[in-house]
Amino acid sequence: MKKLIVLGLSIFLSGFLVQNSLAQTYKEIFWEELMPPDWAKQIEKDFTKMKQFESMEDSDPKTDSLYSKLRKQWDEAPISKKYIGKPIRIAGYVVPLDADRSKTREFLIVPYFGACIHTPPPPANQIILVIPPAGGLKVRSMDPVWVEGILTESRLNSDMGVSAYQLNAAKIAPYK
Amino acid sequence: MRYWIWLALQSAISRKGALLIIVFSTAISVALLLAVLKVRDDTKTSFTNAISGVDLIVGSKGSPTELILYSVFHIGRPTSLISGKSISEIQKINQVKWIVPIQLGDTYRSYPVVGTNSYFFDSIKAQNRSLSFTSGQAFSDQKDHELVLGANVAKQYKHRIGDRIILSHGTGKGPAQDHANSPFVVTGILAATGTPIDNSVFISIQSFNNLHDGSKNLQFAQLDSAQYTAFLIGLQQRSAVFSVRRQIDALKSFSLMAIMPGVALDELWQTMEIAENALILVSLGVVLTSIFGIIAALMVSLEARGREIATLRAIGARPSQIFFFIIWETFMISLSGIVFGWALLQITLLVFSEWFMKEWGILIQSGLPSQNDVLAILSILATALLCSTLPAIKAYRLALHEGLNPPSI
Amino acid sequence: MKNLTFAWPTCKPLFNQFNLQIERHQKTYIAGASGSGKSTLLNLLAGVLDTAQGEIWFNDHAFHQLSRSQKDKIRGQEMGFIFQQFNLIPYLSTLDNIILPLNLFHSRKKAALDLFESTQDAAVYLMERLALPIQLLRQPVYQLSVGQQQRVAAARAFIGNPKIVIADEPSSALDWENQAQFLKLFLELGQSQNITLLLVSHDERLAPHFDQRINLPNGLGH
Repeated sequence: MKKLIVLGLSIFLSGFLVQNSLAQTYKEIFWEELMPPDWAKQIEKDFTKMKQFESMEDSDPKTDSLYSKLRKQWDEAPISKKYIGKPIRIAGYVVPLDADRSKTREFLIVPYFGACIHTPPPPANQIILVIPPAGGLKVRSMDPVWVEGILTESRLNSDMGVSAYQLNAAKIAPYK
Repeated sequence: MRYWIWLALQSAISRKGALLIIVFSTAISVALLLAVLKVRDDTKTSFTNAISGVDLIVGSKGSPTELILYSVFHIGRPTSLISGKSISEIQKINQVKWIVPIQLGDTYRSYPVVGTNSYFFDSIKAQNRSLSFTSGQAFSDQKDHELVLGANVAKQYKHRIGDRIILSHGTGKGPAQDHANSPFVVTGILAATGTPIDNSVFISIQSFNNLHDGSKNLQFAQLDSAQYTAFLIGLQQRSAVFSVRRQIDALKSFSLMAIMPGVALDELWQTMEIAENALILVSLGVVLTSIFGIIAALMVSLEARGREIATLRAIGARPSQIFFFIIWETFMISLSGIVFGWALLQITLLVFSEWFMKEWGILIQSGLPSQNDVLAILSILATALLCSTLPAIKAYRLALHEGLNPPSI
Repeated sequence: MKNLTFAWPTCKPLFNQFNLQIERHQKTYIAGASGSGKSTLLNLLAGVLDTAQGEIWFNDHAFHQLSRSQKDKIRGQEMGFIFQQFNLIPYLSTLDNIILPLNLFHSRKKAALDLFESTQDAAVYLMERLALPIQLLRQPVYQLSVGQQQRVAAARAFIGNPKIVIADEPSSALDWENQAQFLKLFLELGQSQNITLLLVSHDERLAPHFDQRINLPNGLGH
């Protein structure tokens, strides 16, 4: 009888502990994981196609149309359901949205530096909208940060059905 | 100790001619530093918050900083106008949720007048809070001559619902061309937001257009035939901002530029900070120079004060007392300079703050020293005291070695 | 009776095994031209200079054993000096110059207040004794004549009952008439308040008025 109680208690306790640790630990993920694998493969194929046209002039209408086709694909890049609803932790560069210097202004994070200035913007599945917690962090354009929270999907109520990543951050911290 | 303080004062007064000049030079340098610090603090307050909830601002191609400065802060040069015809094109873009056009160019007593539609009050947020009215409501888009006041404008001129107001064409700097034949009626007063909205006056696009081209007598529906300073755009999904920006930039028949307000503001801040830091460094240099002036004057005066020191020694003064005698004198001179400098700044501010507000739209007020000011003043005082050990040590040495009868010159 | 002695100062080649004794309540004349070590002697007496060897005694204080600040204090409390160049503080008034020692040392102030109602009264008394017109009380000293300045310096030396007043060529800047008058007042004051007087000078005409005479070893004295 005693053994049963001990067993039961230990199962209960371990379950409780696991539950707790799950709720508190945010899994660190990488940007590649946010791209659905088959979409990633398709993009790779298109890139190799692009390379064939490297020798052509920039102003060539074929290059133009290929480029805009590629951009459209990137803008409509589908999200991966892998981490939706899960607590994650990811590092990225801040792209501020509001003309506001408060701690709670919403911003995007992207995988690389200079996404709005020098280099072309990333595909839609490499952008996360971050809603800061109440006592957020003062961030500036292109600051590297860690964000932690549950990754969610925001769906457009339209025929297109485009989805985007959103994170209601529990914590934002500077990247060291 | 109190006697030494009195003695140092008497000694300084006897040399007041030269010392007054030094005090004045210190005062000017301190006033300069405090002014630079104040401008930095006050402009920070003015530029900290602008608008939120706006994902893109569209204007004519040019500098993003100029666009955000003019369209949001109403500062700087008017940008080229963009055609209303592009509005329908932009609305076709899937992710665009709302678009609010704005027009600028007129003023009310040097406060900017913004021509927009009533959606502005529903769509735009300030510091993440929606706009609200303390009294009245938005103007009607269909009616003419209705007007909404920002909180500061209403407060300054004590306006209430129903007041009649004449607007001026242009910036109001030159001889004002009043739209005297078109008085406006206040229909609403906004609650304070801590953003440039408080300093703005809002009228409908129809009213704005009719002010300037009464012949056309524009109706609300005909948005596309007017010209605008900028469009404020809100998206269905904020993360689509890059995509929509690209699509707007690519609209071939219009030369438009879409900027992200958050990024543009941050860039503005960065530029400002560089300029401010440069100014502060220069001012610090000037203050340091003044302090060196005080020290130099004291060193020179000590050459001639050997007899004074020897006399004090003969009467039994200790070299350490002579040391503090000089330190105290430096302290008095520095403190006088600082106090005069601060007073000089306050007077200047009282005289010029209104002009500053009109020129730059930034409020700089006189008042008690801020925390930064006190910090600066204490640092200056500390530096002066530190440097004053130089002449004090010289005096100390004089006291030690000269004995009772210094060689007469 | 206490003795003021000054024995064996040996510093620099100036004084070698030099013995000097100055009697209390006496008037002593030290003969010495400038350059005879007179300044060094005065600095030693005042406690401003230290000796490498030897002893200096002042009023039972062993100067050679005391720290500089202790000697400064004793000098301030118990000595008065009259200099060749008077050494007044030019930007202070006559009154403020005279009472300067009282403001620096509490015990000296107390000594003056034992005899007078206020420090001003003490100063005024001395001014009268030194024949200084009372109108000069609040005038800045640089406005006074040379003779008047000298007597202000004397008043400052005498105020607050010091144990000794040392005068260093006090009247060499004056003409003979003023010198004579000054000397007379100087001696009278010392006498009436029973203060030890010490005059250092090269002017032999002053010598006869003094009780004791000392020659400096390298000097021109006899």
